[in-house]
Amino acid sequence: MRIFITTVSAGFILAGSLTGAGMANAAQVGNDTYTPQPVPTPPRSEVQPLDCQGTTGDMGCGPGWFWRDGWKGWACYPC
Amino acid sequence: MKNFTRVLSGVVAAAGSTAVVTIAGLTSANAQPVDYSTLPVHPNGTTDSNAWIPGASVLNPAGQPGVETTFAHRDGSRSITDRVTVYDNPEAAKAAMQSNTTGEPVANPFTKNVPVGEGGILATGTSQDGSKSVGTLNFTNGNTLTQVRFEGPAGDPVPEDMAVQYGQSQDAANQQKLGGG
Repeated sequence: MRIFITTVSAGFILAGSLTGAGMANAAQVGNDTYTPQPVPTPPRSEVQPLDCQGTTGDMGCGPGWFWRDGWKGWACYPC
Repeated sequence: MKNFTRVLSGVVAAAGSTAVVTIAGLTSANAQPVDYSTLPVHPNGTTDSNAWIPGASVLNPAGQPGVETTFAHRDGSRSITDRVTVYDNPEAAKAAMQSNTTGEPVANPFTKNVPVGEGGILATGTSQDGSKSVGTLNFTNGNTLTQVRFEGPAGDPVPEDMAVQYGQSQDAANQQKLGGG
């Protein structure tokens, strides 16, 4: 009888663990099937400064401006 | 009464001597030659940068009292030539502005009146061969004529706000150091 109870208890414990594992993995099931979608990027010329592509660039000049050494020294100038 | 007259004559004579000495002193002070070499305005001051390097100043350019200094951009791509000349009277300065030019004429000029000195005119265009951008700023104030020439890469003319600010600074320096010419 004792052996029977021990066996049954062990079975419940094992079953509980497996059930929990299944529930824990339930939220991640989607990851196994997720396929990253490519993010479309605009065509970019390698010689054209980043700032002139509509981003702020390293110096935060803003869209349409370009950081360079010009008439006023190093400053933001229109593209 | 005789003594009083003698004393009074002495006082008048002393006062006269003092007046003569003072006038002579003023005359002597006014005769001091103006150090034109300190007149050109440094572009680094108006642009808040360290981009510009001054060349040697040339005194009395073209045989006229005044000074000319050329400032070169540190990368060699641009230059600013600043010339201030002093004439006998305002009419002569204005006449010289109409006839005088510094360097070769501006090709395809866009001319605009600007608030610099008297009759400030900014002309922007290119060199005759089109290889450079060229801007000229001319203005008078009293007896002085100021001519500034900006040369840079083709397609990158001097910004108007910079040219105007530079001219206004030079005009203020003329007023301060030459007393309005």
